[in-house]
Amino acid sequence: MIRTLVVRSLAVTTSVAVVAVGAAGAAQAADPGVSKTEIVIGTTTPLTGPASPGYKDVPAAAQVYFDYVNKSGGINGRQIKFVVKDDKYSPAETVTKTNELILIDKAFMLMGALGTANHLAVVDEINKQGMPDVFINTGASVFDNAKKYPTTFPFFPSYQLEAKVMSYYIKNTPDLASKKRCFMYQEGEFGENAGAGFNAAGMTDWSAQASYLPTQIAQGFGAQVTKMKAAGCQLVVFFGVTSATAVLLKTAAALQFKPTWMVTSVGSEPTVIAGILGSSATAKAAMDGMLAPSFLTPITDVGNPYVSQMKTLVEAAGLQWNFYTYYGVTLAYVTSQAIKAAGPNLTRKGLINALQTQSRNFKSPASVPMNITATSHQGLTGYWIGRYDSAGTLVRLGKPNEVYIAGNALSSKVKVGTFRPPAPTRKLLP
Amino acid sequence: MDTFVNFFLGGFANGAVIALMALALVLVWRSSRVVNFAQVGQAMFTSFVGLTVVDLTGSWILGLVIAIAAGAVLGLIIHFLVMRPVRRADSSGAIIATFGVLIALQALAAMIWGGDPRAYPTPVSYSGITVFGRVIAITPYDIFVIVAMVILVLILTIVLTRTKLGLSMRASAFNPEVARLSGVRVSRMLAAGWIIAGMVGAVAGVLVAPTATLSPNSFDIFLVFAFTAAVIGGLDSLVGAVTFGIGTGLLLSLVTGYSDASNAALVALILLALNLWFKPEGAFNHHKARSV
Repeated sequence: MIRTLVVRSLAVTTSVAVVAVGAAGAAQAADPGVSKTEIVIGTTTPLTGPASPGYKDVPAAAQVYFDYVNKSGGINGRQIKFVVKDDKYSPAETVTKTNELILIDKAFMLMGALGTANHLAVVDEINKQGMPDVFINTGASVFDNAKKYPTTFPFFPSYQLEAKVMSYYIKNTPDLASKKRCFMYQEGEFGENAGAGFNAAGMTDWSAQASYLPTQIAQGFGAQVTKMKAAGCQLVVFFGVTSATAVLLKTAAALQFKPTWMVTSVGSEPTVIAGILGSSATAKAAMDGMLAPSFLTPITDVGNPYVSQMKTLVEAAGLQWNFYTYYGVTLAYVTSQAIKAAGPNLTRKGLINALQTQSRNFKSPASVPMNITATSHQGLTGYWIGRYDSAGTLVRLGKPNEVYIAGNALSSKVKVGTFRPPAPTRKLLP
Repeated sequence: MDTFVNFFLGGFANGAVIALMALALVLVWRSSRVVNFAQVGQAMFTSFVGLTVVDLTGSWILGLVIAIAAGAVLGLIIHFLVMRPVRRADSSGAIIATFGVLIALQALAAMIWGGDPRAYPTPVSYSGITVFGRVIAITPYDIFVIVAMVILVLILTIVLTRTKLGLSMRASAFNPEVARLSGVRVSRMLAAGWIIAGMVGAVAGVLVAPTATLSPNSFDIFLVFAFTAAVIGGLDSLVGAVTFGIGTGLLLSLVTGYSDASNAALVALILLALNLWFKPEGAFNHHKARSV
């Protein structure tokens, strides 16, 4: 009897041990930051400091969308926990904050990490971890490299492609082609990328070139404007951050320099410029006639089902409806669809696979096609061109749905095409 | 030629502001032998105070007056709360303390007014003047800035050379022991240096804010140029600070115009290096070389 008991208890102990080992094995195989009930998504972005205006609205709006999804039951039963870290636009801070996201917050993935130099400082480590690095907020073409950075996915088209699209548009628009053109840019990766795009498109005959360092914004751009004015520039292409655009317009107005402006899509948000110029009337007057590329359905198109629903969400949360909040909701919306597409057994590999194989089914207000495959992580493939009117609205130019696209930001030539975004999902849920 | 004149004119107003910031550095150095890295933070903070007043009352002049008063109070507070307690430490301790003050002021400003750049209005037109049918690179506001700087420098010169306060300040800076024996309240003179420097910095801030933007970090770059101008001028010399402040502004404008912006910051570094190499006591300093 005693012997039977011993044998039995041994058997029980063994089977418990086997079950325990099995459970431990399963836990080891699961990726960090995902459980039956929760997914942890992290991001780094400047919430304070000189680069924060506008950009800090992006994660705030993404949070609004995730709250909305969570209230509606989450994605495949999982609630989304979105952890936002302030890196002040300093790459050293980005390293610290990203390490925190990996080690302390145990994020499953990143979404919308912002800044070229910032992301360059951490992209190797993120890829080494196998962590999905989804829809980064930088247009530097270095990240569009599926071989080197297999877990990194750009979203908006690269600055190089933007410069190529601008070149194409200028050359093929007689009014602009005949103008004396000049180029002003922010020193560093941002401006260099744009410069490389113009070179690739064969646009090198600038009448003058000027540049600025981000720290010099507070001094005004007197010398730069004087230089371009002296060169007789009639069309000025500008690649800089939004606060720099505002100061450039202010200095140009003071010195009565009135060229046609063409400004990068990331540096021309009217509400931010209005804040810096003091009034929206001043901003509207300064921006009247300015050309700018864009890759989303016009923000003012309130009849559009994306714009109307996203605007309602953003404003109900007490945020301002502007390009950055629009963009933040868009990022969160597309990311949620990718997570849904990865299925109920969510893994990092599964998410990356879903992005690479199913991106064509994702709905978004992007007005250009998305190109994500196992060999190319390009993201959005082009732009439409618009002109600001006297009411501060970016009015789309060209034929209906006309877009300028390139299948590869570096090697392909820009082509004209048309694209209509597909209808959104029901209630804008993933 | 036209272009050269325009670069030159454009650099003048910026140079005037650099000159005022350099003056504020010199005033603190003369009174307490400390390089005040918090100077641009003080100017930024008082400019926000001024902007708040302008927003509330609509009066630009009242904004300036309150900003100057805030500059005096802030200078006094920093002197009593931070500089006096660390005065027994060596001079590097005091300099590091001013860095701490700079960071604290920037954080405080961000908490009160937010991190977004703000617009500061101008009291007179900010639109280029037309001469013989051509718009030149100087606006009525730039002229206002230059005139304000000249008036301020004149007032400072009179105060420092023709009044008892100025004499006592110079005496305490020159030889605190002898000054104390002669009945000068040396510690009060130190405080006076911080107060006057705070007021000058406040004027500089309010004058430069309207030409670009005002945010907690927006004046950081002026620290580099004002420091360059003050050091080349000899750190002790008001004339040196003004001369090289304006000179730096002109040079930056010419370098940015004729080459590009990234070289402008480099020029400040080269100037500083050449100065320390060939004339470490500074161009306008009558004393012997400083220890570095």
